[in-house]
Amino acid sequence: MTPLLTVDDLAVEFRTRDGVVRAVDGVSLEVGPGEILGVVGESGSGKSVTAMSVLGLVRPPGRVVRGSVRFDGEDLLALPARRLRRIRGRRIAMIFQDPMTALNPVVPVGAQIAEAIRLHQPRLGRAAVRARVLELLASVGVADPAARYGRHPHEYSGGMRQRAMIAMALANEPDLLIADEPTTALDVTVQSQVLGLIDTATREAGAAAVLITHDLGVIAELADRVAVMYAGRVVEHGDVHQVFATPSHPYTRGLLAGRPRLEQATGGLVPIPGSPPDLLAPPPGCAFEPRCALAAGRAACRADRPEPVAVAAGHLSACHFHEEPV
Amino acid sequence: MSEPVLAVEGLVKHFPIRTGILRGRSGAVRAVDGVDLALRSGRTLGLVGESGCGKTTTGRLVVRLAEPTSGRILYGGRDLAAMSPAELRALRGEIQIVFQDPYSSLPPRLTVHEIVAEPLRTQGRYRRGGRERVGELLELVGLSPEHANRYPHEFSGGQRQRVGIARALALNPRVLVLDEPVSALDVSIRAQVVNQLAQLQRELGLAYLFISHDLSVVRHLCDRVAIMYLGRIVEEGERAEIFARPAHPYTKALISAVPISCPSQRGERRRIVLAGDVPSPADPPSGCRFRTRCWKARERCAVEEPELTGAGHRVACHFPEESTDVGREEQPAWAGRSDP
Amino acid sequence: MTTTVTPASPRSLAARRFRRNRMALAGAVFLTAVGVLALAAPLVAGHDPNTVDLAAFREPPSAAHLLGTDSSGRDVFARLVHAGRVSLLVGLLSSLAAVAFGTLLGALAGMLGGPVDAVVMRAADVVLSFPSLVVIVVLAGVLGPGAAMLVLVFAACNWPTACRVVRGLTLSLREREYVQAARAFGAGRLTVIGRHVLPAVLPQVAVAGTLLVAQLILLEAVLSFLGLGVRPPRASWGNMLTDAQNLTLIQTMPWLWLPPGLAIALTVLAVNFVGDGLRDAVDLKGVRG
Repeated sequence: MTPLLTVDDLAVEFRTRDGVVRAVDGVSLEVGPGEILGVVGESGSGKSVTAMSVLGLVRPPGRVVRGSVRFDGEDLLALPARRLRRIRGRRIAMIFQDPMTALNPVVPVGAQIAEAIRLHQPRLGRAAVRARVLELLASVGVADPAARYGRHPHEYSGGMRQRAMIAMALANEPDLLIADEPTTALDVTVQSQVLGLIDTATREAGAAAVLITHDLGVIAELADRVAVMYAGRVVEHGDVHQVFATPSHPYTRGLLAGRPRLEQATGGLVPIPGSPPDLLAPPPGCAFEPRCALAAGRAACRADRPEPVAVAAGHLSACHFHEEPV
Repeated sequence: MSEPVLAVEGLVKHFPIRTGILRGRSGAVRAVDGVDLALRSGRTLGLVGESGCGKTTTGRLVVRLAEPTSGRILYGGRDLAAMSPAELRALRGEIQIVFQDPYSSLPPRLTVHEIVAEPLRTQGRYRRGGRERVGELLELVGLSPEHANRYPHEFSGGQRQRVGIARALALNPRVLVLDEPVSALDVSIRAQVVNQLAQLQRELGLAYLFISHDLSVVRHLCDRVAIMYLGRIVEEGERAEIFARPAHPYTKALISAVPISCPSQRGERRRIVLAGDVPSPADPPSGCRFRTRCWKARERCAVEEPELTGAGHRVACHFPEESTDVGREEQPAWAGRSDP
Repeated sequence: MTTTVTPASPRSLAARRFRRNRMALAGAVFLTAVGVLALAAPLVAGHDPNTVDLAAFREPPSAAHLLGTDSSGRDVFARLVHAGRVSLLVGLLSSLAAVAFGTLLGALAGMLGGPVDAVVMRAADVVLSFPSLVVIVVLAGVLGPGAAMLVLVFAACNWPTACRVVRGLTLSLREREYVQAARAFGAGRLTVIGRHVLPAVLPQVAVAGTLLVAQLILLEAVLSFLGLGVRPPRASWGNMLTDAQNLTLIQTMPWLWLPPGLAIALTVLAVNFVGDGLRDAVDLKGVRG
């Protein structure tokens, strides 16, 4: 099965006042058709920048310095702007974290969705476009779409705005949906609704999705496969059941062990000591080494950057000592 | 059970809505509409709810950063709500607050030392031994003395939050209001700060009011939990009770909405999906405020507002859930369809 | 987290950024030079600026008179440096007064709100609705022209701008959590103004004040040229320009108008560069974590 999207050794740099920040430092990912890939990482892990790179949305002072993003055979990074615009919104769609800033506050929501449709299907007549918008709004669970069509974003609740964004993203039946922290700004009851919506919408449309989040619970709910990112690199990826049940990389293990869980018997949480590294001067070796209990200051961890190796079928981990138990 | 260190009775906060040229009062946002709480030394009360439920406002009222419209805040036998600013000033240090956002809760132009020293200076306690006290406080929260001369922007979110905690502890408080203290932090840092808070509570015997929307963290840290909806408390009880046998439909819905922690649990849990949106706090529904979204609502719910009843485990519902697990709850008729 | 030892206070970071801005640095150097000259005027002038010597009437630059003499036989260079004192002082003092007064009122209005805010804002509105030139002319007639009058009038007409800016900043600062924290441990509103609001508004206020200095130097020059400001025999760059009032003089005797004209233009330019440099240096976006 050929993957729909292949990111290969992607590297993105940002030129700042204080130096060059390597936001993405050699990331390789794959998404199969109809599959949901969860990308999990904290702030500074490079997950959002990776997503933006796929759609060619990285602007100066950011710059892609290396790598390729192959979508259905074509390298998106090498495409001229016009071809890329045809793909954006039509075959790859994106949902952002804060719908309030992603939606135009002075244009009614219905009109914004209509615009998204018209951009890629210019031959559709007005009535047809409007009908499609109403159909979409209904399919994402917005009640009374006809009345809601003319309302502005601030008249919608947070959950409804996110639904409208999803409607906009799905308007042109994309093959791939990229969702960057789609539920982080939402209340937990609304969050579960929106996640359910993303799940059914993508499955019904047969679309693949890349779900970017810092919340392991979201991954556990929806993802088929998961990639764990740290300091601009992918440290572990594989089937979601496997990674959760038998995490290999110390960072993944730390993340899973350090979460407060609803059903866990209470006891001390096991935190990961230290804090995420400074991306201005990434270490030559493993980026996680300063916080890693397994490393114990070993030279290999300090000096050599670990490449992902297979710890089980389809399950890779970037750790020199992945065989050792913690 | 011991006497509460701080007790809140019938706390109400209405924000007037002023319209028209003359800015006449046309209504009020009933942010907090009759709340009772009790905080005890060495114990944590979790205040849980979604956005707009009034939990943050309640926290600010307890610290007297906002003026209550009515109600009592009993501390040391006196009612804080009725005190003048001058009388309050002396007690200020004893009830402190830690804010959510580590980036805006510290003044950017002061060094860490100055930030932690500020409460001491304000209360005239810096002159004698202030310097040492700041050093002690920094160590208490796990920061080293060399951090004292740095500025907030040089630190990570987790460290800044620790500075905020050190500052709150400067005047030896007995009660600490924690307003979403870890929500803005990275996941790998949360555990550090949560553990730190637990340790401080053990060492100093503090009473915590832990405000959060994150049920998992609440379950971890809190001894008792109170759930708020539209300005009122709908359920309150010991942690184990609330999570094992939630009685109020809203509590059940909240718990069921928390994402699972492991993919193997997919499909096991029945998700309760609430109908509609949260009503406006300026115009809450008659009778039970939750009835517009409750799958059990009946006529009585529209007419009569339920009171918080019960002993250790209190619920405000005319038809509270019987004790069945969340997971085995019978599927509500319309669950799965979401209709805002 | 940084591992360097260099101080990272917002102030030193801003200073570093300012130094990197070449235009601003050049401006600052120029102003220092002008300032030193102006301060040391009695020492460097060489001649008394007000001594009339009709024998040396409109003489071109020579060894005796570095920049020549004006229509009353007075040494141009001496008048230039003494005039520098006046022009700079008027500009600086009036800007300082306007900004200080405006900041204080703005902070109080923003912090205390209610009736205080209403009164201050209405006063500001009233002052802003008067055309300042008319006010100056009238007051010059009433109080008599002179440098002191100018300082007073400039300050009185320009405080509302700083006031409004500071009030806006104060309103937003009031809601910041660190200000709330200060209230929570008992800091009174005035303490909060002193400890948090004023230091926070200082950068913006400094920028606005600097740019105001440029405006006011220029305005003083115009008014003195028109005879409404500093009157001879006291020298000001503006009133020195009155000496060259017909085309023949302008064409044949450049030493009469070129020195004061250049002095005004270069000084105002330099002040603007410094102001812009300050504005870029205090841009807080770089400081946030």
